[in-house]
Amino acid sequence: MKFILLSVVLFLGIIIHVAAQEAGFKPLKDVDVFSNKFDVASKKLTSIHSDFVQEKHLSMMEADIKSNGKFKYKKENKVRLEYTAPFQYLMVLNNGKMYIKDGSKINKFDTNANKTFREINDMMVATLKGDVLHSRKYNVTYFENESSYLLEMKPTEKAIQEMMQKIKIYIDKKTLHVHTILMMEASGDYTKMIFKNSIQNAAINDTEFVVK
Amino acid sequence: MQQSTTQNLWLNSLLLVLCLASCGRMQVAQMTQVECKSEYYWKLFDSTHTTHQYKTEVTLYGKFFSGILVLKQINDTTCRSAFTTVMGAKLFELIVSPQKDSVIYTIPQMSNNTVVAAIAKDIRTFALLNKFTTLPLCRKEDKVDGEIVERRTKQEIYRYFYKRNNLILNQIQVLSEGFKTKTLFDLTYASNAVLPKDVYITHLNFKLKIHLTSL
Repeated sequence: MKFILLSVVLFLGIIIHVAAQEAGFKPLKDVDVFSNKFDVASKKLTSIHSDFVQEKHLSMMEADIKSNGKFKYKKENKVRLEYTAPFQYLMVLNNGKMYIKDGSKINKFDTNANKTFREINDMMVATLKGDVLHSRKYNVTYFENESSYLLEMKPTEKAIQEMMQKIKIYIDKKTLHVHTILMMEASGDYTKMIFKNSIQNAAINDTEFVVK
Repeated sequence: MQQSTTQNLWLNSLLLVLCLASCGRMQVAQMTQVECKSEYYWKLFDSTHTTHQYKTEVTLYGKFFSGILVLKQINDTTCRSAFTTVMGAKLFELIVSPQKDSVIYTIPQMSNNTVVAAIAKDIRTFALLNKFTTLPLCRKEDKVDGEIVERRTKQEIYRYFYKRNNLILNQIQVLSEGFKTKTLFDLTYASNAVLPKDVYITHLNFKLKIHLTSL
């Protein structure tokens, strides 16, 4: 009887483990090798310039909300996310300040003064830079397929859990560039950001991170 | 002395103008009750236009933020709505109907019932046209080019203004029992459009303005 129960539990465990894995991905065998490679690449990274497509999936809608624009990152903590469609919208993170320009209106937030903004700020910068691996705010599980690494990050802090169930980061195996970020909510709704035409370590002027 | 007299005259004139203006506003407009035509208040959202996206700009006591409002008409009396920031963070998801609102999700900062109730009320007034809360009363008013569909609840009066020539809804007024304007919805349309392109919502009791632009 005990044997049967143990077998059932083990069988269910295997099924749950396989189901939690994304189709086509298997657990990464040597996490340390990957972490070292990724750390070296991250240290060499001084800037990123790419196009992005954002898809917001809401289960209540038949079609996703799509937007696109340009993304720029400059070491240490400058981020520019410029939406060009379906409307113009600019978000800049620059040394602890968040600026949002919508039409002619500009909003400025001190991300250090507001816990929610600080969490969003830290999460975005860490995710886009790829150094989220070392964050204590996430438990990371590693997967791979032929072309990509997949990092599944589950937040450990309640404040982030309330906004995000898990974040999936897809990294190109050849270039070690982050090409897709999937932010999943507990409801099953998600935001997917796909980065295209990425150029690394090209010069980006500091004025790109000033909002006027 | 002469300066004081001039000031008094100026003040008196101003008071007189204000008095006349307010008296003018106090005049009871000539209203005629007319037969309610269902096409007036069924036209805005219906089953043929199930999901709508609006860019939403909110100004609250001088603070500004924006996002995307999604409205999905489930049936004639039920609307599901979600609001996300431009960067994709969902702030709330609600199901609004005449008798009951269900909160599916809100961020902790918005979990206060008053905030959600105010949002649900605006969605009910705009997307559901306050349908089936009470029976409509249809009127014509001398100064209004069109017809007014009016619904009364215990505390409020909802007036929907439809233009005479094309029967489109161009303004919603939410008034207190004492006919004081609480909220205004001004709707503008692209040519030949059935649904509003822009909706300007002004809450007069507190400094809240919302601008919806159809996407």
